[in-house]
Amino acid sequence: MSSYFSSADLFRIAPLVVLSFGAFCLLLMEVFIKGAWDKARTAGLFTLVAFVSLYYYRGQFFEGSTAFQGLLFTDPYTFFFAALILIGTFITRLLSDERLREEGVGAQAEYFSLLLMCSVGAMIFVAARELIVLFLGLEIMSIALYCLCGSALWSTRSSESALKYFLLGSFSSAVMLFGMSLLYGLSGTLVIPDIASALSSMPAENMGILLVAIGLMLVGFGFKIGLVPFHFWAPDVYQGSPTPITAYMACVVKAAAVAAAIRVMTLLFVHGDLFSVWSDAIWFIAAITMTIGNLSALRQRSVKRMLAYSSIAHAGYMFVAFIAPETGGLSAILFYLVTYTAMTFGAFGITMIVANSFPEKTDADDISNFNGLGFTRPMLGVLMTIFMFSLAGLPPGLAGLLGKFYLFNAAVKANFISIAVIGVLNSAISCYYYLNVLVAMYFRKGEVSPSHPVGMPMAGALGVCAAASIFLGVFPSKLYEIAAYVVTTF
Amino acid sequence: MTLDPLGSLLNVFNQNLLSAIIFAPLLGALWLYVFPKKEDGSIYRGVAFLWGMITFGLSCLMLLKFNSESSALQLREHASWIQGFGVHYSLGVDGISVFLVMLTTFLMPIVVLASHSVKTNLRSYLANMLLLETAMLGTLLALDSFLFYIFWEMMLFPMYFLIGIWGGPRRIYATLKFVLYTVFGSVLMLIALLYTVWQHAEQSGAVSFLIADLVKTNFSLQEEILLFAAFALAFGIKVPIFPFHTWLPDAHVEAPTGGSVVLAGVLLKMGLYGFIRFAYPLFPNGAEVFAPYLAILAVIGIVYGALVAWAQSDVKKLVAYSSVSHLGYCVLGFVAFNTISATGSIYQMLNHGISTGALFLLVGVLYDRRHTREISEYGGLASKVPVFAFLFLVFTLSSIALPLTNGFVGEFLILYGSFQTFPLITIVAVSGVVLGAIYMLTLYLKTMFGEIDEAKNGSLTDVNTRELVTLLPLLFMVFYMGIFPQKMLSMIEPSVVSYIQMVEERKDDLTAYVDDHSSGNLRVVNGVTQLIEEEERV
Repeated sequence: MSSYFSSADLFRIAPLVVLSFGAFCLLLMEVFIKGAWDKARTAGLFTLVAFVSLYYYRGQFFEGSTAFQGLLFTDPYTFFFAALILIGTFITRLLSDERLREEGVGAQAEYFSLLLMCSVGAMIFVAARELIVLFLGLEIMSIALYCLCGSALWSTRSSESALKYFLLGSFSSAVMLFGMSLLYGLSGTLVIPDIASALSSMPAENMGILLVAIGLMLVGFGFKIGLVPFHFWAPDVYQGSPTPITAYMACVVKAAAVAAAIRVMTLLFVHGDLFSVWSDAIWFIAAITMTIGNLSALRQRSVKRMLAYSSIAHAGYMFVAFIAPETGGLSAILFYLVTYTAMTFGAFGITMIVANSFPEKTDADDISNFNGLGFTRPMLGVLMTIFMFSLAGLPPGLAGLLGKFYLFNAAVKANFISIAVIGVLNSAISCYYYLNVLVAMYFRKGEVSPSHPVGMPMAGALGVCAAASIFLGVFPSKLYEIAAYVVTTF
Repeated sequence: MTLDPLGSLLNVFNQNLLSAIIFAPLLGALWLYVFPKKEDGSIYRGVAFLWGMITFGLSCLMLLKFNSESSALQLREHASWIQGFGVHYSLGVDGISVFLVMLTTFLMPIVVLASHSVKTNLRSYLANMLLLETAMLGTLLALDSFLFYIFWEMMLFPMYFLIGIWGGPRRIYATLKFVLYTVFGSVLMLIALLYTVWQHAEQSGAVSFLIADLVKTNFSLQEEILLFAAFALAFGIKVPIFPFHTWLPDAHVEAPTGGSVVLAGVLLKMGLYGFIRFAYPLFPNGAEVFAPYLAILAVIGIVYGALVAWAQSDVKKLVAYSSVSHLGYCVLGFVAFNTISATGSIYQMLNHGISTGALFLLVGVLYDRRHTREISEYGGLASKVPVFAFLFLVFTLSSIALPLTNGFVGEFLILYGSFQTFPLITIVAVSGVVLGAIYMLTLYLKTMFGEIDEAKNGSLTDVNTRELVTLLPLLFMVFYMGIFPQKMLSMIEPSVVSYIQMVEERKDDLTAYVDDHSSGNLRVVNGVTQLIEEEERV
């Protein structure tokens, strides 16, 4: 028998290799290098190399569309998300500048090492073609993330969030694993496409077990994505974690979880009779996720908590389009994920700058700390305005508007009018709390002005996010075409 | 190839005149932002005024090129924007929108000149004004429904800041109320629009957001009623039609003078313009069902607005409620839907923009001097500030539609026209004219005549040259539009005639219903034959 993998397989997972190597290097360098060295820059460098290797070996990547004898997908869909994850990781590195110490992160080498590890897990999670690999990816990602949440060592909130996330996260992983075992029992295989074909010839009396399996899988994915009613961890964890990690969770981890959920759920369940059961469940989950997310966000004083609830609401918007995979819903979700990543990273970045200007306060991300920001720091004000309008889906944040347009468009086209109406009404509600940030920035007087200078990496990241929040809306066609092509390939 | 900058510039004016009109203010706003920071704010005002005048000049060029004989959409621009979804960057102007565009570009330099009371952040104030102008012009000129929607939503952003930053004490409440009302209305419109687009795509096989394509769509009556309601909610909030008007007095009272002028002058017209461009042509049968109710709401608005205005003790609030009343006439004239009343309605929108805009400017003049808007604080001003009193009188008379002023022409046409459609409702509406005279003249009486009872009013200074410069163009327009209405009416009318004909034709098509048993819905003959034809083709 030939070897288990070929050298071509290694080229296909080059970014994974580079990132894992980087993660270990960072740990070893911390041990052996005596003087001061720039951990952030090293981590950023590894991320860039991983990105270049992804791009450079794209020829091998697309060849055959699976790797390691069918354990991993290497199709354009995987490629799209690998690129998104790497870009997200890089932006997280840019946000993790000298402010990290003020966020309370002491052990920086470990922090960046875990960050790279987490991205490795996320990429495996997206690429998995087999349930065990899927679970491995999920766990690599999650365990690294639990540690990252608690990486602000002297902050009790950070430790609390790590413990909370760990306890609830391991529960949800176990639930998902149980769902996987039921699927294995029903089909006799772990390879996802094979399960799908086995299920289509399944005897009717097993239907009940299959429904349970669907439900359990959905709980697992729903927990990572932050869907209601599996969202209770999100506000506390988002608020307690160091802000770059919060942004990373809200964007990269959510994107990876949505990507994996779309692929697995679509391959397994979205055909035939199951679709009606499935779409009813998603309809309901999308509706309550949007509504509860938005209503809870209304009363938040902490901007990080507000953004946490808003990210729950946005997951709800995305799932509106998940009901309508036939009418461009999936490509709409991909488009939305990209625009959402840009605006959410930006919003968290600015929140972090503001919060770090008040190191003595315990509620540093309170909305009153934004008072007068629009006049004391005009550039930050303008950027935050763009991000908030984009999240609210109003011009000039055209990217957010176009993203919602694509999502609701797919639902309306598939004749799911009522959920689209719930969606847009929610979007209108959300304007209140997004605009509240602008109320603080422009319409109220601040006592102290945050005077922290903004470093180049941070400024660059925020600038790129802001540009993306506008121009992805002015010229949306290219990205949408890519998304539409990518979802046809899995 | 020779480089010919002048030639290519001229080419822009020939081919892309409407784009130039829309984006000139945006350029001005960006220019303001990159302009080096100066202590003296008047340079910003100069720059903004320059760009306002450039836009006005371009729109005058548009008026010159406008063929007043034709009822078609002119100076068209057309390019694909979002491929695969049939969204186009499509612009055009006809008799209905041409003077609204002129009104917008005409008011903007005046508003810029009237910004002297703005003491803080003048640069952003002016930039927001110019952005608002871009959004309003885009809304008026867009022929693609999605483009329209984007510009429509874009109007929120500058207005939000104008009220919120430079407004009065309750500005935060007022500006959030304004935005949330508008957003709630417009999101439902988006869903209705998407539904329309996909129905159209199903019937014709091509996805398109162009209004010209969408008006060919056929709906069942229930669908039309729901869709019309969704659109009417969005536009009705903007007009505002009673009972969705409550944001307006708040917004007006808190807004700075310039903001009030733009709000009353142009922004409110967007709602009715939306009815004209979208709701009626897309859903003529839904419109037919709703027309009597809209007329009743309009009349309630007229009478209620007038009564509430009468009871106000705050000058600005009084003018704001008078807007509710006046807009009621515009709505009534349009929903009566005959050539005379609809032409009058469009004419009245322009009149209201000019007279109410001027009244807000005058209130601003008073407020700058005394920092109060309470009517009881004033009295006997006529002897101290004669020029001001004269101007105030003229615009008051224009507002209550005295013959020879512009208001008379509009209100007369509206009442004359709508009497043919809704005689009873129109009789009630006429009472609004009387009430209007009562509250405006009472206001004039209380503030201008009698003894000077407040010592502070004794030292009031009359309007200065700058304020006079802002008001004289408006004064001229009051009399020009009042004495020679024919010139403008003759440009508006052809478009209105063909517009009404187009909508009525669609209605005629749709009057003969057949029972479509398969779906249980009333389907339209036209649609059915179309479907049958398609089946035969297959």
